[in-house]
Amino acid sequence: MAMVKPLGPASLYRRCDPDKFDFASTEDLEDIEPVIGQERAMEALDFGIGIHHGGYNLFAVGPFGIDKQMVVRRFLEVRAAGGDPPNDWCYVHNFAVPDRPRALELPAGRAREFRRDMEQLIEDLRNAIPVAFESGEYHARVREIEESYKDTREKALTELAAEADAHGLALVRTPGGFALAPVKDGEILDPEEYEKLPEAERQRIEREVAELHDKLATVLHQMPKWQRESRNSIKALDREVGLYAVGHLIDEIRRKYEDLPPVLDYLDAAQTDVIEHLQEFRSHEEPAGLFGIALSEKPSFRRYQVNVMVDNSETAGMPVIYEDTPLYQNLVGRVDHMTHMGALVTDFTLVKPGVLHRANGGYLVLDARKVLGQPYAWEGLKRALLAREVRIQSLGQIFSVISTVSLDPEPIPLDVKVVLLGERLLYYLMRAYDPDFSDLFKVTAEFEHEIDRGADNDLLYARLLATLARRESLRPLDRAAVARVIEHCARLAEDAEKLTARLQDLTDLLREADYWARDSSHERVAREDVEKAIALRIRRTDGLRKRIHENILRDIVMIDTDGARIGEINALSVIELGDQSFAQPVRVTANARLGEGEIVDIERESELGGAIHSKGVMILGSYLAARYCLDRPLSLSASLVFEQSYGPVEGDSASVAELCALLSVLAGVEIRQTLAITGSVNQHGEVQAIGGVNEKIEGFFDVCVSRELTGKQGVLIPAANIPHLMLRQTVVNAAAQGRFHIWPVRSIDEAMELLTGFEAGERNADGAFPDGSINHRVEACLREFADLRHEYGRLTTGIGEDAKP
Amino acid sequence: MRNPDAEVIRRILVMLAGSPRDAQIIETATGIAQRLRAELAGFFVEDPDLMRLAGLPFAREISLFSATARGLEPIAMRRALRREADAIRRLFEQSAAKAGVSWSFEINDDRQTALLTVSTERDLLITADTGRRLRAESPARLVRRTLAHVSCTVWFTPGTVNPAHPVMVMLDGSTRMHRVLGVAAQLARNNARPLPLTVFVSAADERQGEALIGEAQAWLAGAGLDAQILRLPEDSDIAAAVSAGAGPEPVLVVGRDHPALRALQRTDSMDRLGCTLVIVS
Repeated sequence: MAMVKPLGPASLYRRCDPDKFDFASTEDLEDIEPVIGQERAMEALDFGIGIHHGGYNLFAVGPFGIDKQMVVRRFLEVRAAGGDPPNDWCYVHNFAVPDRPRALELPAGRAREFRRDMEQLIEDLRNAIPVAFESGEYHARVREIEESYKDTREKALTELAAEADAHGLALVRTPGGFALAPVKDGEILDPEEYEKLPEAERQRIEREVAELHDKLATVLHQMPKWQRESRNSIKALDREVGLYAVGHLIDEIRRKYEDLPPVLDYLDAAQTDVIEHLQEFRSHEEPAGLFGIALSEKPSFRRYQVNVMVDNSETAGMPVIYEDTPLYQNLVGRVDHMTHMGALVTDFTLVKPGVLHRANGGYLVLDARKVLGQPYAWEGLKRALLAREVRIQSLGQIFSVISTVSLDPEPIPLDVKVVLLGERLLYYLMRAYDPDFSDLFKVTAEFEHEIDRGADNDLLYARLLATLARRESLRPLDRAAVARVIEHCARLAEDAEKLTARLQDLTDLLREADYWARDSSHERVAREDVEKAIALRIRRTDGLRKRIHENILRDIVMIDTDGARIGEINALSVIELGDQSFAQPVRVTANARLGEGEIVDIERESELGGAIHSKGVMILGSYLAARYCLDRPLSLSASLVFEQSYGPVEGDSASVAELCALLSVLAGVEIRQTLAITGSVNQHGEVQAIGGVNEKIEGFFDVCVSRELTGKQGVLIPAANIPHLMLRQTVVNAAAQGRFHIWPVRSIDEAMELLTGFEAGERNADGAFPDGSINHRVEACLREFADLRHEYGRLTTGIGEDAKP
Repeated sequence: MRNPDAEVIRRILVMLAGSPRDAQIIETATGIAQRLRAELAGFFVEDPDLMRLAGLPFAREISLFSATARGLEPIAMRRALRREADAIRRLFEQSAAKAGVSWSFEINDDRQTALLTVSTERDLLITADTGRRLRAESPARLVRRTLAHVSCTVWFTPGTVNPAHPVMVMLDGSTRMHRVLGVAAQLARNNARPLPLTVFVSAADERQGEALIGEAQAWLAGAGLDAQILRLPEDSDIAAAVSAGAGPEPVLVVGRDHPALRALQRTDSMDRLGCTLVIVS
């Protein structure tokens, strides 16, 4: 029996030697971009930003805590600084279609200027128009036109009156119009006197009255035409006066924007509109309104305002925007309303930009999870990217849930690179379930959650610490503290050969170490400050672990650390709660009897076991049958259970323990309770790596320490986990002193030998295991089960009476 | 000498005849009544010509708005005139109420008799009566006809009165001189700011002229008014005074028996005068 040797201290913890650093503290180190080990992600970002084709937006994939947002933003900001600021955008009134505000594009910085110019124009118009129409000259010309009309009318009526007079008739104005009557001595003839006139005279009068009636009707028919002509003349005069008052003001603006045809078009339309509505602007008073919005149909000077949506006057380079609250409206913009007397009112000045407007021509960084968490935000973002334009539509409009009067502003062309940030699972889910995703996010930037640990990277990491400390205004770290941080970051990476890339955890550690350094009046953060920060962080969240630990020590939870038992073994499970994870020793027990080859996983039967755990148990059956029962059926019924476990069990890291417990029962050999074991096993009995190895070892160690280390205690771990060991110093020290042991095992045989002290046994040339070996005992037991099963079958069915297994 | 502070005009009568200018005349009359703090009486005459017209067998009315003809009947005409009178009364009431003027309104169908009766109870008659005839009588004829029937002071206005109109007075030393000055003073003084007052004096000789000027100066001083006093040749007409005065659209106050007024009524120059004429009785 070749026993496995326990690991030496050097294998249990890979130190970072501070003496290899040639700096005294991080003060001596230059800043570094916090993207160590993210070369692939940076290359992807570089590619994604550089390629100018539709759909080449980016998805930065990586776990939480690596501060992708900061890294991406800094990367983009550097790239964006070299670019030109994009054009400004504004909305103006659409005089042709008022509910569809017009979008105007102006060079960067000129939208604000244009707004100022239009505000000044409004102010000028407000004064110039009434003044122009209050002038004596204007009134004189209006009077002239009115009198001309009046003269024309009066002349026609006077001529008719004169003609009537010549015939002894008078043209009289009645309450409803005009009438003709014979006159005598300056007064209209009395009816009685009229009747006394000769018949011929009456006939003459009536004939002449009838003729003049016709002429009068002709004159009256012409009056509306004269009146219309008069009105048109006044309108023409108004236009002339208005144009004189307004034209030169607008011409000034025209000259300023003559290089921008759309602006000139707008100014032409504005001028036409002003001239058409001069009548309404002639008063110094604006139409009554609410918060400046006209409530009547009458036009207001407000319609000539400019609503600047994007003002890049102070933007240096291309914009890089991160939106922390990607609501639908925050992305695509919105049209605000105001309520008045129960009605909702709006106009183009209430159109508000979204983040897509502000990032247009640059970069937009969004957290994918937040986008998906906001109703319709993802749909809105996709629609804008697919259409390459930002169209502001309220959700109410889109889904027709409200029918209030609203606006449909002209869409603004969109040219933006969107960078979504998210973890890997989200990325794969989006890719799998949204067919548009692949079309829109063609570039994936994968961020590593850990980086290689080596001499070069240790130094880079030290510079990273220096950078973070300076950025956070923290005390510098001396080199011993740097070394301790690096060691801890390897522990966080759960790998002695790796360092975590989770900048968030790293930054938190630096902040807390700085706090304790200040508490200890250290000018620099020392190793002890880092130690204290790590220890106290654990202590702050150590309540549950302590309670479990206490229950074990009080034998409420039964975990033996001494003696030996058949079918019972100490396994190790890891509990992860929030930002804390710790190990809990668990007793796994096994029972076996004659059966039909089934191994009952009681965790699974009670619906506490997860799928991976069940898979591990099933492997055990396969292993037993393949190794011990090649020529006969596996005829046992075994059950496995995690004793005193009342919650879900997942993972296969206890499958070695379960197999060992089962072999112990079948072989009838005791397992040393001084040991605990972790690892998964395959069908060939090979022990495979598991996660959380450090916590598992420390969990059992803590129980042993509390009960007293005897020098016999220890943990069996998969040999493949050796590179992951970054154990607590107390464990390392105990191991160095021979008071606690960590054995790396590669096979179930190695594990059984350590656990029982018996030889596992290899088959000899005859295919038999050595007598007394564990495997021999197991095989014998299973053979006996098979025989019993055969015998039992023969007795109950009579089949196979002559056959012998 | 009459007390210069005494208000000459306390009761005003305005003649309304259903002409298109009625609204303008009402506005002018209420403005004057407000300024002079006088009572205002409206007098609407139901034109007897129209009632006769409606009685004629062939009487037709051509609508102003549709140019179509329809028959006229006395009863319908009476109703139409009453409606018209009611409308003018409402307009009158609104205008007077807005100006804060004490008012009354009367309708009558006998213009001349009523005018004679009513005007004796009033200090000032305001009229621009052009009647319903399309071929209206001339202003000179209107003045003559009106003065023949009324005994009070008469205000003939061609249009609206400019609130800042200058007041001009023509004096000739007649017995009405002080009354003429009183009306002019009341018009000039009863304003937010005293209006410019110009006194034209025409006399047969230098001595009489100087005497008149002295008397006018004394009267004006007694009334606390500043005025510009100008000499006009004896045979000067009203048009000469208007052109010599300062400011547009003046109100010219003149005595009923001033020679210039008599000359004016005989010629057609009154038709072209273009200013408000206040003839003091």
